[in-house]
Amino acid sequence: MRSILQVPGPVKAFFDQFPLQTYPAVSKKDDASVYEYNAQSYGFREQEAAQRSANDVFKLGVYNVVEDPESGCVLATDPWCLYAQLSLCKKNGLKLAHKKGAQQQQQRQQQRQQPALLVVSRLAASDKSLPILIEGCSKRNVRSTAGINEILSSRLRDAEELMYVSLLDSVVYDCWTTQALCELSVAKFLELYDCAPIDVALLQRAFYQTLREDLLERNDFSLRHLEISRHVRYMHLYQSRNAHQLTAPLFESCKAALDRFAALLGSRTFFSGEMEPGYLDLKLASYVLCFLSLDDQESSLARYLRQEVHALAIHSRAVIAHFK
Amino acid sequence: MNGPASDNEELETRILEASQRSSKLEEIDLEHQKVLQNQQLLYAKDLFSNKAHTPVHVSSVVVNNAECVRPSVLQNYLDQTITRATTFEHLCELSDILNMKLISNGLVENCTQTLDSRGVLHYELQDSDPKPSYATPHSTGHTVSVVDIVPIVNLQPLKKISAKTGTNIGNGEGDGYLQLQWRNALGGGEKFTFDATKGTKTHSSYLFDYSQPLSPWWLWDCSVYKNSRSLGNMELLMRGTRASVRSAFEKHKHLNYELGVESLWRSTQATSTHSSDSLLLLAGDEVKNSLSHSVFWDTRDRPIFPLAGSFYKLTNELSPSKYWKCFFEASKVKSWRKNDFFTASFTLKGGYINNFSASKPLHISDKFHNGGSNDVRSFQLMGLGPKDLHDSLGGDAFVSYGVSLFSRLPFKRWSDSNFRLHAFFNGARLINTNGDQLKNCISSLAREHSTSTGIGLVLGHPVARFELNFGIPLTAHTSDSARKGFQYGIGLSFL
Repeated sequence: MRSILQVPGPVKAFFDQFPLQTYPAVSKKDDASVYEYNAQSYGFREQEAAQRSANDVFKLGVYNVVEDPESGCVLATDPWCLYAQLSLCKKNGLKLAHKKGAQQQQQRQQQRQQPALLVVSRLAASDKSLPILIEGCSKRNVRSTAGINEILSSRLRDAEELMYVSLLDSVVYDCWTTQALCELSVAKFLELYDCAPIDVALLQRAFYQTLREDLLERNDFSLRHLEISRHVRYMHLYQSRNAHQLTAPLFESCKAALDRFAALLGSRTFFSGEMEPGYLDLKLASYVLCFLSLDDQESSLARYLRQEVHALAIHSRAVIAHFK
Repeated sequence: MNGPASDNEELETRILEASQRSSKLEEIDLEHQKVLQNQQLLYAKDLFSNKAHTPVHVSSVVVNNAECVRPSVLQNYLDQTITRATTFEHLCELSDILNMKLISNGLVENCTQTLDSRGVLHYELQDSDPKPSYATPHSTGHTVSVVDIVPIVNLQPLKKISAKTGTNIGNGEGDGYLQLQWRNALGGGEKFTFDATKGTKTHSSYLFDYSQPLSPWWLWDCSVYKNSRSLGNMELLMRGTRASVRSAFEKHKHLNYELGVESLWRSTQATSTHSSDSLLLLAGDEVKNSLSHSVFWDTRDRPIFPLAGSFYKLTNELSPSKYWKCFFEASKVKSWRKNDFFTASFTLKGGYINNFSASKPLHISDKFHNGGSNDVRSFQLMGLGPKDLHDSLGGDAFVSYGVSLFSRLPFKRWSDSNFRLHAFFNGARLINTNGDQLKNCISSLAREHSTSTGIGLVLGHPVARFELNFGIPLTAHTSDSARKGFQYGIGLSFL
């Protein structure tokens, strides 16, 4: 049935002739943009050079990266980003990226055709939380952190693994976040959570506070720890109890949880009992590696892991070695 | 046979005749008044033209309601205007300027002047140090007569504190605003303004502004603001401060200048789940400092929907270690026939940005954007230029132009209204020069223009201009976002 709002055929045919002349698309070429992309992207290494179409290429957006001193691999600085990075390696049979060398200069032009780790601001995500998974080109989809977590949770083997991962994402995550928010220096925090912090001294404090407030919202941390959130938000206004009194129980819980995981692992290389690490291994290793990336003076948990729980440090090294 | 019916007819006839006579008398009276007015006008004109070059001297000024302006400020205004008058014509001109400046610089609501005289002063030209005298000179031929004028200035104080709230709706957008003003706060034209806006496109905007005239010809303005608005598929949050000094010379006689300095912290957030790589890399926080200079030449009869005059503007902006940006605009408006029945408007704009850094791309809000109902019609807002996927990236060089023809409505009843029929032709080219040579850049700008044409209806309201056009793109690039059909525009300036 014809609608009254439907444009009559002859009229439509007439207007369809416009524009009378169509030129090719305006070039978007910008050397500065290409340079920035190359500087902030780290391509995953593939065992065999796969022929991918532009729509099959993905990128993982993370806060920042650090070079692992032992393996030379580029690792994300945040546990959730690192877990997503390791999981993508496992699922797609990829190897971790290395810091770019001179020989890689020539490959840079093709980098948009290979999966990569992309250092972006938290503002690249609509919910201000990383990681994000950037899929496809013409059929673009940017998956949020929640979307990535949902997919990765579905890959866990059983309910027991899900329970362990949930434990890590609550007890150990809270400890990591508390440490980042309350213990780390401003410079170290910015190094972990922003690739291009504002270099104006006058604004750096305000910028740092904005980042901290965004991190408070991730994984509902602020709902679970109201007192710490108030302390972080209104540090100068709100007279909370001594910060140490607030954070100490979280650190103790985290240490207990890590001890239990070390005991659970026993003498096995991986939890899965196989040659290849499972998702639980990746999850635990990502937290442990992030703690270990900090100095002993910066983090009491890093000191604890190095001095008391060697098994987990060895386990995380084994995970990295697998994807090296 | 005479009956009551014939009496009634007679009475009606007499009443009709009487009303006709009275209306004729009224018409005659009106015409008489018009003639009298014209005579007075002619007399005044003659008087002004005959006495235009009569030497005058303003020996003193009487100001009524002077308490609303600080004495030193008022003295400054008087010293720079009417007390400098040398001839009668000059005095009239300076009186107009004084009125205009007192009002436009926010010192008074209104100002009127009357002229009084204390007589004629006579100067002996033979004296080495001539002393004026009101006495009639004995000798003739060696004296000059100067009329001693005493202007009486009546000031009407303005309402110092005002608050305004309202809503704006249009183009699928809407917002509500609150504006608080404290005008002439310290008696020198100082103005404090607080603006708060919440809406769909401008999600939130807060502005605290302080402005003050430094002299009748220069104004100083500084503001602190926080503004959050959508820009393409991004949310742009800006917190900043801006200070500027601008001139307010007579528009049609002098160039005007504006020198500004701005510091802002902007946060760019990607809001779409389909964002391109360029936009994702652009997201983040950045601090920008810039220094800008503009020079204007404006002879238009009014800034919104002018009927005659020209407007030229050249702006340079320098952001240290980031970019240098140059932008120009030229427009000419001319009207013909009785009551400015036909009007033609020509506008040309262009700009270029030189990015100092080879490793850091320009921010999208620093780049040029084209397209939209107020710019190149028949294209979407930011619909032209380089794009990555569906995200408009803007360009660092552009040229755009527009020709518009307006006519009053061809109906007697509506011809005096502010409505006009409108036909337009627009075109533009927006590119990324990517550090190309100037010659290649000009060559790129000169070809493959996106153009459009259409007709519509325009309402030239003193507050803003409203347009409803039906347009079609004539030529376009495959990456352009064209918009065929009706397009509604509201704004202060159009291409």
